[in-house]
Order: sequence, then C-alpha cells, then structure tokens
Amino acid sequence: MSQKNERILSYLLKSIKYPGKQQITSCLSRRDTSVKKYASFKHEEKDLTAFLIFSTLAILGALLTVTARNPIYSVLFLAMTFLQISGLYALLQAEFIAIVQIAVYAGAIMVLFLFVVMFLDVKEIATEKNFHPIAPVCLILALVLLGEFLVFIFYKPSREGGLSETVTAVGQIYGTAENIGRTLFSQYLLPFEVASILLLMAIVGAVVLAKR
Amino acid sequence: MPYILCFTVNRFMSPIPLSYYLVVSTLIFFIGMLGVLTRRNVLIILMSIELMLNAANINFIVFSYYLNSLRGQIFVFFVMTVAAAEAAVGLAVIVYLFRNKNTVNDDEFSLMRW
Amino acid sequence: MMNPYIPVLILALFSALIAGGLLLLTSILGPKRLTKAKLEPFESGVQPLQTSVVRIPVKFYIVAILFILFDIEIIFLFPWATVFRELGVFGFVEMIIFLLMLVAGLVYAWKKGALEWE
Repeated sequence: MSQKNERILSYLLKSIKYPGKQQITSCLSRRDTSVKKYASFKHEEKDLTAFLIFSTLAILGALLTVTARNPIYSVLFLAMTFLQISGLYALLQAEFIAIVQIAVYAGAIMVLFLFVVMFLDVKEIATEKNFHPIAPVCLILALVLLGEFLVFIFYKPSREGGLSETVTAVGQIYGTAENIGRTLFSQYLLPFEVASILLLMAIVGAVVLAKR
Repeated sequence: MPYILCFTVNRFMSPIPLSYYLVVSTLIFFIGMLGVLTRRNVLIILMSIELMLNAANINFIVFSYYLNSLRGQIFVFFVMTVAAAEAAVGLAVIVYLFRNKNTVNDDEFSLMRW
Repeated sequence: MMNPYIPVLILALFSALIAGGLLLLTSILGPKRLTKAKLEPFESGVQPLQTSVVRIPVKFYIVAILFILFDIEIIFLFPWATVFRELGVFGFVEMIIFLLMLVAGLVYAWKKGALEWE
C-alpha cells in the first residue's frame, strides 16, 4: 500500500470510533487477506440467497421504473424497488431503517408521486415520446461512469487487496429503534432540530406552490 | 479467469462481501442516472433522483454494517427526511409547471420566464 | 438459532398466497359467460359515468403533503419513545421543540386554507 493511501486510511480509522477498529487495522497490515480468515461472524448461507433475490428484484424494478412508458407503472415499480431495498437493509441488521424505508419511501413519498401522476393528464403523457434523441450519448457517458465505479470497487492498489477486501469487519451493531434513538437524541441533536426546520420549509414551499 | 472462478466459489462459501452490496448500489445509481439523462418526463426524472438517493443510502447502511458504526444509519435517517421534503417541494414545482405550460416534457421548460 | 425474520417470511408468503390464490381460483373455477353488462367495471350496479382515468383535483396533493409531515414526525417519535426514560427532561424538551416546528407548518397550511374543502 502506498504511503498516501496509508495516511488516508489511518486518518479515516482515527476519525471513526467503532469496536471493530482493531480487526480492520490488523487486516490492513497483514499480507494475506482472504475474507474467510478474518471474518469472525457467521452469515447463514441463506442470507446470500435472500441477498440475490432482493438485489435482483431491486435492479429489475429500477430498470422498469426508468423504461416504463406510463408514469403510473413507473411509480409502482419504484415502490417495488424501495421494498426490495428495505429487504437489503434488514439483511444488514438495520431493522429500524428498513421499516422507515417502507413507511417513508414506499408509503408517503410514493403516495405523493401517485397523486401528482393522477393530477397530470395521464393519457397525454403516455403517448408522448419517452426518450431524448441524444439518449445513446447519455448511455455511453453513464456506462463510462459505471465502469469507473466498478474499477474503484474492485481495484487492488497492492497485494493487501482493494476496498472490498480490506473492509471485512463484522456487523455487531444492530440498528434497532433504541440504538438509533440513543445516538440520534444525544450525538445528533442539532441535525434533528434542523430537520424540523427543513420540514417546515418544505410544507410552506409546497403549500405556496400548489395552492392556486 | 481461474482467479475469477476461485473468487466466485470462495465468496459463495463465505459471508456476503462488501463489494456485492457496492455493486448493487452502483447499478441502481447508474440506472437512476440514465433515467435523469435520457427521460423527458419531469416526473420520471424526479423518480430517478429518488433512485440515486436510495443507492447512496444502501452504501451508507452497508458501511455502517461493515464498520460497526451506527453513523451511517443515522445519516440515512436524515437523507430520508430530506428526500421527503425534496419530493414534496419538487412535486409542487411540477404541479405549478404543469398548470402554466400544460405539459411535463422537460424540453418545454427551457425559459426562465414566460 | 432460528432466523428472526422467519415470521415475516411466513406473513409475506401467506399474503401472497391469499392474494394470488383467490385470483387464480376465481379465474379457474368460475364460469366465463361474458356479456356486455358483465364486462363493465363494477360500480355497485350503477352505470359507469366515465373512464377511470380522470384528473384528480390538486387539493388532494396538499392533504398528501400534510400526511408526509406527520409520517416523518412519527418516524422521529418512535426512536425517541423507546429511549424516553433515559433522555429525561432534556429529551422531552427537544422533542417538544421539534413538534412545535412541525405544528407551525400545520398552522400555516391551515391559515392558508389548505384544509378548506369548498
């Protein structure tokens, strides 16, 4: 690992306080980094099946959202994607966030979208041309970015392994409502209060814009 | 090639590696970006933005899991709040635009005033 | 150890089974003698006036926005409620401030006549 990378990583590790710190640092310093060796927790193999189902359906739903002709179908496929993503959260022990995902995204935001789709003239929209004429260029540009992301994920700067090998510490933390609440209302008090101001602004803005 | 095969087989026996989740979130982000770039319907562009936000959220949760920290989850919490506010105002803007122009095609919204 | 999500899976399977099974059973078992009256959408015996694709008034949208407001409020209240005793008076005061902010939004919408239904 190069000098610079090491500095960045040590900085990152310093800034993050978590119990699994030792494991990761030891992981980084050793040569051989097969995942098996350092994983100190046991995933059941069923989890991989669940992961594959959730992720496949999420990606499929996302694709159909973007390509559907009728915006109503788009909204429904987007709701499906959000549900699958909530499943992924549950797999990652973020239980409360998984519920919030369903309540906020699949519940509230999708309802809002559906209302607006119904408000707009559905028949007229469905017959319009869907894609920009420059869509192929956009596809190429987006593919380049996708390639960059994938390279970043799988890139191995040295024998110590890349991003995906070095971070293999374990999920000992459960995102239950209690844990979230304890952190939220002590450490993240200011963001919490600022969120209320943001919501107030959103209400005022939406009412001003939507009211005739 | 043998390396890739070994990699795959090894992964099926061991816990789900971080990179799997990252690939999923990358793909969802990519699809969302395609939607923003290529679609003409403003509503679907807004939905694609929601998709991209969700891809970022997956990354937050994954790293919070693999780094044993609750911070990522708190962050996702706030991202969701912001997304709700953004959807409310964004959709109100779309309603307003539709009233004035009677269309949701984004090519029609090229003027700052009319 | 049993996976704690097994009940959720069972619930999902049951709801899928009931929803899909009922649709499937009616399509298999029911006789299919289609007449013009039967093909019309069911409106409790009343003649349908128009197609189901209609533009709904924008008033519903403002109601939906208020729904989002209270949805987010509940989402913040849940983790607060679980650690309410630990937080004590301080936690109570901070949540009251939060709620007052959101109530201000509701009052604004109310004063603007967003809840009027003339």
